[in-house]
Amino acid sequence: MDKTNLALIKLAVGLLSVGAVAGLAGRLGAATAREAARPPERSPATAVQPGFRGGLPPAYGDEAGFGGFYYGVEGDDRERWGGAGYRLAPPGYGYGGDSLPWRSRSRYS
Amino acid sequence: MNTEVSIRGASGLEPWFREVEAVLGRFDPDGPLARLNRSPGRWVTVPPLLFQAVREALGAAAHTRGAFDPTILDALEAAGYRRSFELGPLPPGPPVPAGRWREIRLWPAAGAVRLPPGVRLDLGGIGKGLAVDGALALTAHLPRVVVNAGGDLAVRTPPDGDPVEVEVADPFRPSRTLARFGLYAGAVATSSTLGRRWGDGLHHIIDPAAGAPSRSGIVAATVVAGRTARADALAKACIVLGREGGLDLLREHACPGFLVTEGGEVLTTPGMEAYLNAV
Repeated sequence: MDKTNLALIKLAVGLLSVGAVAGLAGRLGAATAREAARPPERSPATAVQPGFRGGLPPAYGDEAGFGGFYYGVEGDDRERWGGAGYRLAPPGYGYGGDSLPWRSRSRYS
Repeated sequence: MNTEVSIRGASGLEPWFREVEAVLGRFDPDGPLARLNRSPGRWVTVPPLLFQAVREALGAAAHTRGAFDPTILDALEAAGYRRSFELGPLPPGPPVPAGRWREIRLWPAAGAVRLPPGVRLDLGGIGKGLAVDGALALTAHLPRVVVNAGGDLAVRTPPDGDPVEVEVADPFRPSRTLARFGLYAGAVATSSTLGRRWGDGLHHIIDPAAGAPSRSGIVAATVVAGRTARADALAKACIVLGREGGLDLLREHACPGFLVTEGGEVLTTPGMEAYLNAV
């Protein structure tokens, strides 16, 4: 192996090393960026919406008021009913041995 | 509301429930509802929550053809329910037909309500549902919440989460379960004539046309809907309307439900029979 070949081999090894280091740094950088972009881990949030100081809760879902009814004014007949808005699981889902993790009971009072 | 409230997935809602009680309760003589009821024939500026509750109660009346009626207070008191149930009923008097809810006027810009002379409001039929719906609205940023106020409940679950298991109590034997289903989102309300009773045929669900406790033959109704106030109002309307009228109302509003007759027969909207006795 003459001196020229030896120099070329050293150059190639050097370039490969630089590439590997740069690639590793890039991957580390990307991972750091992803970490920064991820929202911070939230403990189970347990508070009402910030800023509530009494009064009316915000309407949600549609314009029908938070209870789902709307009634017009002074003869204005703009009642809104809106969609039914519930979502039931198919019969048999989640019970019959393995109860679902959360349970609630509807009864008269 | 004299109601047990249980909440999962959220906290800090006690001020909201206290506010509902203070604003919509009828037994506090200094409360805004009592003041409104003492001022018929003129515009009364009311708290925003009371204005919204009156508006929604009138909407409920319109959507049930008056079977739900917030103007039944005189009839309720005539039936003997003149003070908090825990204090005991008073002797009943003659019936007082209701039905004048269409004469109530709302002035949104002023937040004012005008009751016609001779009309007083009771928002007990919808207040509990509004309290639950308001609690869910106040926790709209939380992915999984269940709010249950005395058996009227609402549920929100995340898109990829399990549903909440809802049990419906048997009105004749409340420790037994009549039906069971999984609910991803929405509300369930149960009303019955068997709970608050103070004599033969005396209970708190008033037939507005008769002006007296309902005698339709339906003793309990459970309704599933998008909002608790809606489920609550529909359940009461079903008891007033009876078996055919109640099932027609639920079909009209695309809300599933169960009706129980005084003989113990359970009627369901189509498809709901699969959830009965699902243990």
